[in-house]
Amino acid sequence: MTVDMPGPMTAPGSHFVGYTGTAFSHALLLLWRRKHLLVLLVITLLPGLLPLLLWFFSGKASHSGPKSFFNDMAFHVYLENLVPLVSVFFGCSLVSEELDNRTIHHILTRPIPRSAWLLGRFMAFTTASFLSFAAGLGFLFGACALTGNIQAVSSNLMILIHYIGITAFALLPYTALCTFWGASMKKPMVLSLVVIIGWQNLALLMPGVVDFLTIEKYIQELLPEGTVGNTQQSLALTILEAQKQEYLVGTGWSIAALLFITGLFMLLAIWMVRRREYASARFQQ
Amino acid sequence: MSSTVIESRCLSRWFGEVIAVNNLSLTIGSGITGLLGPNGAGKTTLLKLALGLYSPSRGMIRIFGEPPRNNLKVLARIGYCPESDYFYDHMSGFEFVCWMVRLRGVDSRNARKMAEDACAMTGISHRMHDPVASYSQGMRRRISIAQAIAVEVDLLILDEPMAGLDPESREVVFNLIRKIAESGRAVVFSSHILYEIERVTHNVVLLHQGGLIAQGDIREIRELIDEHPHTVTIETPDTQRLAAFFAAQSTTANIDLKDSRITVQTRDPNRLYQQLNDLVLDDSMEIRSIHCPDDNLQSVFEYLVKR
Repeated sequence: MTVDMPGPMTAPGSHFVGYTGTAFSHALLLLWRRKHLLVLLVITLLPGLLPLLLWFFSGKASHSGPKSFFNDMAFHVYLENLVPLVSVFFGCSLVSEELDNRTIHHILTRPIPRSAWLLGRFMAFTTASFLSFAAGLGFLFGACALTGNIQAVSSNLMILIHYIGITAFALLPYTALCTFWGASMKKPMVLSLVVIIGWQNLALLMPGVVDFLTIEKYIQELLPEGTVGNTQQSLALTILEAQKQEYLVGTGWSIAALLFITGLFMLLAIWMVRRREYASARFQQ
Repeated sequence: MSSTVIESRCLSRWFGEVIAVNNLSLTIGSGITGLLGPNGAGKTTLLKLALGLYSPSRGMIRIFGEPPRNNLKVLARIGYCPESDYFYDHMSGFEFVCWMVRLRGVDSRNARKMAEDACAMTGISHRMHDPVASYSQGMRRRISIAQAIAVEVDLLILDEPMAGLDPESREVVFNLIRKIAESGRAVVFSSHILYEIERVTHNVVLLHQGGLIAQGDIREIRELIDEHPHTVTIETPDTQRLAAFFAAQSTTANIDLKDSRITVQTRDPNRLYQQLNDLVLDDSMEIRSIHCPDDNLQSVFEYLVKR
């Protein structure tokens, strides 16, 4: 059998944005093909069924009214639980997925900047999560409006947009933090859950400024006015009201803090990817 | 452009207490170079050091005169086929090659063209749109090679490229390596089978226990190696017929039959491989796989070290 070599075909030079875009599309395609997007969509849409089920079985969506019900669900179910959990899953798998599938060799031997590859995947994972959560919150809002006072939909639409915005700002730091852990260790999931679920809830209860070392502190600062925060914060505020009020931060600073955390941990993750020897047996077991 | 492609000086790499590469100083130039050594000789570690996947514990390694670790300029000039075939699941072979090209910074349209050409060169065009999961071991190997050769590079690193390939695929890959080298590019490929390397080059680097034993023309050590009977295990449904065929050969030292496997000891391995190729290409006998136990080379290397 003879082989005909093609004529010279050199790869055109690409910029950082081009590489990031390629890594973004590649990661998004894999999320789609592996049905991760479908599972994510199901998870984020499920809470929207609750008001429909309550309405079907008891005749009304909730005792507190549709607006309050939406607020509670958006905060306690989405922001407090689902967003961190999805971020842990996606953030931790951002690098470790390539290690587990042993495809990391292919990536690390391409002339793609490590930062562009990591950033592209991070953007793909957060975009997919954000769109799913936006759909989930929209479905929940629609279900609350349908089972409550449909007339109130237009006047309360801003609340939905507000929560979708907070979701975006919450996904970024959580995913960045877990990306760093995923780049640093072989099995990052347990540590991530312990820190994000365990440490955060503990820190929010503690007096003083310990809660500044949590992501949730800044997320809570972004909640719509009049929204009842979580029980830990209420308890802490009751016990140490004077102190706590002194340490409250504004919306602008909270957004800046969340973006700073995102940037910091992404930089650390990039540094880690450049430093680690992922091809070694330690990471391939 | 300098003709030195890979250069190492006092290069060592250890993992805990295990020394994988030990004080290795060598220079590899353009053309085809075979990296020969038994398992654990340090071939893969050396190649990974050359790719910047590992950093040296001591000493230095330069590719095209530059350190390879995190060096995108160097990586842009290297194509790499890893030892193991791992791909993205839920993708076809063509898609995999295409994405590997795109991750080199090539736009989508050109990447498709390059992937098609690479699949054609490795003889996998007819199945390139099938899912990778449905591929045989040989086809997976071909896809792995295709992604390495899809973009024109100055250095092609192939880690055990013949592993798991059937005789027909081996011929395709042998021809491919020769063609690539003829176009002026450097090819470094590792193997623990001397006869694979001998098919495409006389220029070899012999490694044993992380160190360099010899480097140069393979013919100089050929006579030494021929003193040792060479063992080949062949899987075929026609064991009796194949055994009768080899029994009639004067170079056969011993034959052992077990289930659908026949193990032949020969004093002329080149002739045996040629005969096997002829049998497969003539379709006169079905050969499922050919396996060359590592013990062959191990015994030769132990002999060389003791000299």
